[in-house]
Amino acid sequence: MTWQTILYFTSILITCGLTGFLAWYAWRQPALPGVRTYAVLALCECLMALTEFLSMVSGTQAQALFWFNLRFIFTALIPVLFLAFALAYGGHQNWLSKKLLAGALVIPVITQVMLWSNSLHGLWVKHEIGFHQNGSLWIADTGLRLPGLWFMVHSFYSLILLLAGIVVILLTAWRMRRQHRGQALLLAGGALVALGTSLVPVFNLLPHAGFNPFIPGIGISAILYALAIFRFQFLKKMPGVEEGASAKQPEDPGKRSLAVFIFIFFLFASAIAAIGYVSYQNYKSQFRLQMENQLTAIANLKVNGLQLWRSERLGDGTLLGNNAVFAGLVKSYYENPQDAQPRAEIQAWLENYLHVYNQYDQVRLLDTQGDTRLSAPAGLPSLSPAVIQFIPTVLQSGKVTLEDFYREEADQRVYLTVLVPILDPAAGDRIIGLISLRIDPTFYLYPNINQWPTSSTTAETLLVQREGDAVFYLNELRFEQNAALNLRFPLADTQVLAVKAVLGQTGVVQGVDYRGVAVVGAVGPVPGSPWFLVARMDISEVYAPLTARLWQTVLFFGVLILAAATGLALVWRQQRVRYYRAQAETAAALRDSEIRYRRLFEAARDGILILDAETGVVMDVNPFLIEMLGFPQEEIYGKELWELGFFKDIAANKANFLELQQKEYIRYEGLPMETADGRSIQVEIVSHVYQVDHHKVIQCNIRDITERIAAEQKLAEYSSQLEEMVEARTRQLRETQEKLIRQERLATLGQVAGSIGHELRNPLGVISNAIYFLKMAQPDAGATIKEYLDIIENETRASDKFITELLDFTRIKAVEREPVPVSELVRQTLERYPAPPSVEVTLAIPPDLPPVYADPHHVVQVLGNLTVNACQSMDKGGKLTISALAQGDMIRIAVQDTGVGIPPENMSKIFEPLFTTKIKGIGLGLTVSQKLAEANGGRIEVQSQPGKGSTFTLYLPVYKESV
Amino acid sequence: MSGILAILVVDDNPSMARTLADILDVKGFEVHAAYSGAEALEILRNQRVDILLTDVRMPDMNGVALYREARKTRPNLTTVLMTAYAADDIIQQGIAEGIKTVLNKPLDMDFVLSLFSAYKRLIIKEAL
Repeated sequence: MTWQTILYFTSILITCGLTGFLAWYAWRQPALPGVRTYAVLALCECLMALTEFLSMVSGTQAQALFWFNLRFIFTALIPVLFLAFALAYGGHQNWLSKKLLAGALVIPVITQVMLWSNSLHGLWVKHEIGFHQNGSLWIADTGLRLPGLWFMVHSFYSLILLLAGIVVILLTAWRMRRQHRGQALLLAGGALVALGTSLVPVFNLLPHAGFNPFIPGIGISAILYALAIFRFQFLKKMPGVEEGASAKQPEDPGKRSLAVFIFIFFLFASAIAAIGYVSYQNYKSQFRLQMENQLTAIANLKVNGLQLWRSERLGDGTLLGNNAVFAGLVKSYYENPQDAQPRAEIQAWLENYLHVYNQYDQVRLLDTQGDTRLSAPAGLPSLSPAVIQFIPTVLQSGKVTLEDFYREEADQRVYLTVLVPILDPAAGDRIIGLISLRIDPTFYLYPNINQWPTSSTTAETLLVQREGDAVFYLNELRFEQNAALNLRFPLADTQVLAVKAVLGQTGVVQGVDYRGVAVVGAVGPVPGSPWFLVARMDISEVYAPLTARLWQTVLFFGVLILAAATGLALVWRQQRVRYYRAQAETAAALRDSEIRYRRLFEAARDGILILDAETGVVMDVNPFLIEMLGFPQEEIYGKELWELGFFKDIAANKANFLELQQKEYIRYEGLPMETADGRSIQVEIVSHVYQVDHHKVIQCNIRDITERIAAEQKLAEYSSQLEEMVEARTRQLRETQEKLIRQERLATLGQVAGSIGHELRNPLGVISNAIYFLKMAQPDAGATIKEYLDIIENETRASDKFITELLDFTRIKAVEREPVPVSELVRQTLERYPAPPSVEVTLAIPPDLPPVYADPHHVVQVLGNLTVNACQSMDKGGKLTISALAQGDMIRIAVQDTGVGIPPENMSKIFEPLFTTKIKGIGLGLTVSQKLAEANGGRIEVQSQPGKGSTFTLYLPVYKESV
Repeated sequence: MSGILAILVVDDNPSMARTLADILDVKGFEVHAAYSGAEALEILRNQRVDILLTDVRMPDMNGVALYREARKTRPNLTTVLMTAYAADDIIQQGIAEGIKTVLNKPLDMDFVLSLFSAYKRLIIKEAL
């Protein structure tokens, strides 16, 4: 195995691995346009390399061929995939409809059919590739392949697709300028490498290379692709993505489209021209082969004919020479020349030869000296010296000899002569005489040689012979009179076909003929003779059909190109027409739209201002804005935004305008604006920035919202007022409700207490009366009876007192308010409800305190209740402080103790009826106190700390003179 | 006109009427006891009565209504109300219509006897 083979095999393996890896890598990438197509493409390349590998390691040549042919599935698919990929890469994936793709796959499919059915029609290849074995590996020899028509179709189709793909990628690279140029150039480069190496086997460009560089070329291409992937982020960032993402503006198809069409036309034209050229070349080589075969066949025919003819002539001689009867006749004639019978018989023999064979013009019987003894026709002159000189040789060899072409001096014509020695078997084959058979070549030989099986104006067969340093022409020539044995060329004229022939060339050769005209002919020796045969035709005649074919081809493909050009021009024109029609429609639609929006603009009940976004100059203003602001149009048009009087507050500086330019949408509300008549209005401004004809404009919608804002403010005021009212009313209701609940409870309590009082007071009254009567009626009763009567009387009184208190608490007597000094009220309280001795009482009542306005009975009852409670909370002694001070128009009287305090959980319950912590008590004290305070326009508040004491504060209104 | 004051005691509670009547009888007053308004009016028609001492709340007729009926025939009749209720609308009405005295039950008998003694002197003086 040579190192080249090892290198080649390694490159196949590397290609297979690398393309396989790229396919796998690409498949894992996000499916950007073209990525999946590229993955499939790389997979096809990988599989193709794999088939090459399998072909190389096959067991038999047939298997190797099978694997080799299998690769054409991929070579047919790859160009289609590549073009699809290139289109997607350039952002034109929408060009590639499913129908188009299916159409593009028609030829690849036919290729497969053609390939595998080649034995039936030979359209794929006329001669398959060959293989030679290097070590154990099969190396394909594509030089042996004679491509058929479809192979060329397949090849050119593939080449055109690849080229188109490369062009698309290059155009993309060009269009992308810097951004993706690196990767696009690498991709195009990779494709070009693959394309270039694929050309080698197709056109057999390197007939002596020994290896097919196609797969290694794919490998190099894959390396370039890998570079594009890992160095230039191919598959991750691609032009097609951005192209697809940005919707293209419809543009004039004029120049651009024309360029595309011209490009497509050139693509078509070069494809057609290439196919035409190849078809012509194919025909030419076919034709040449055919002509060469024809020439060879004719030459062979002539050579065979000449051979046969020579042997026939020699045979003719032998027939007479070895004829015992004839020999006997000749002997007897020589012995007795006067004897008429032998003589007549010999004469008959000679005549017979003359007429039967139709080859000979003179037949003589010679003696061994060469004198003519008898002849047919009779009475011929003596034999030509040119022949006589050979007689000794013949006599010596005793064999029939053909004397070559010679010129008869008598008539200056060319003849051949067969010299036949007459052997006498009776005398031990002694030569007794000779027969000479003179051959006139014009009878048979020349016509036979000159005769051409097909009609031709220049074709002829030449018989030549070498003599010394020259070559002779033996026969008469088509284009030169009397050439036989006269015309000769030196052997140095190697271009002359005759020279080539006698110098030993065989087969079909090109050269010149005796006229110096370019000819092609089949040359070869005539075996058994010194002759050489040249069957030749003028090249001009041979290739005359070829020239015709050339013109036909040019005409046909020219027409085809013209048709393509016409077709494309028509399509282009139609596209233009469609474009202009669409443009006209668009323009019409635009006009309609413009009218519509103009109407909207002018009829809008919003002020609309259109500004140039770059300069801030007012471009348009609608009538409503003019009406709203009262400025004349001229004062607004063409001004810059910040020059506008009414705008000065809003657009006072360019910073605001810059904000507008940048944000593209701004909404201001409640901006002040001054109208022409000095009225200040409030406006809402909504601004949009948008593009018109590659130019940014700002549209400001201005709406007068003065009234709306006023209405909104009023509404807000109403709303807050309403809230306040609702709140106040709710508070009132809640208070009333609480009061009602409390009163209802108290009313119930009063009823219960009242009826109990009533029910108890009557029996108590009766008991009391009875005791009174008994005491009165029995003044002399015993001491014990009197004591018991007193006990009953006291308990009756105690019960009555209890009931009286109960009824007092549950019943508010009529309120009789009057101005009372607090000190007086406190004094009365402590008089009626004195504190026990364990409690230290402190008073803190300022002397200048204004009087309260309240019912003194009620106040005393309340303060008494508070005092009693305070004292009861200090059953182990403590301090009771009663203080008073004025607070606004209220007097607060605080009763503070140092008792047990109130637990927090009870704080909310202490004013509720029937709540008590005392063992003896009905829980009405504080309830009634609060009720009384409220009846007098005041209230009671409480603060307490368990364990430290409580402070009950009674608020009462200050007395005012006006009240 | 004798020197003895005639008192009509009216109470729907018979024990109350009875004990009062007994005490006043022992103390030297001419006493009539009635247990309803209707009974009281019957006595007023047929007997001499100087003072009407009546309960306020009674089933058939309250004390003030009785006072009104009594005044139709005896315009100068002195009327004293007894009640277990300190504050009573009916009593307020009675005061407004000329009743001078309202006593709370249980009655303080010493106060009642001295009051009636005072009435006796007044009534006798008027009669004279």
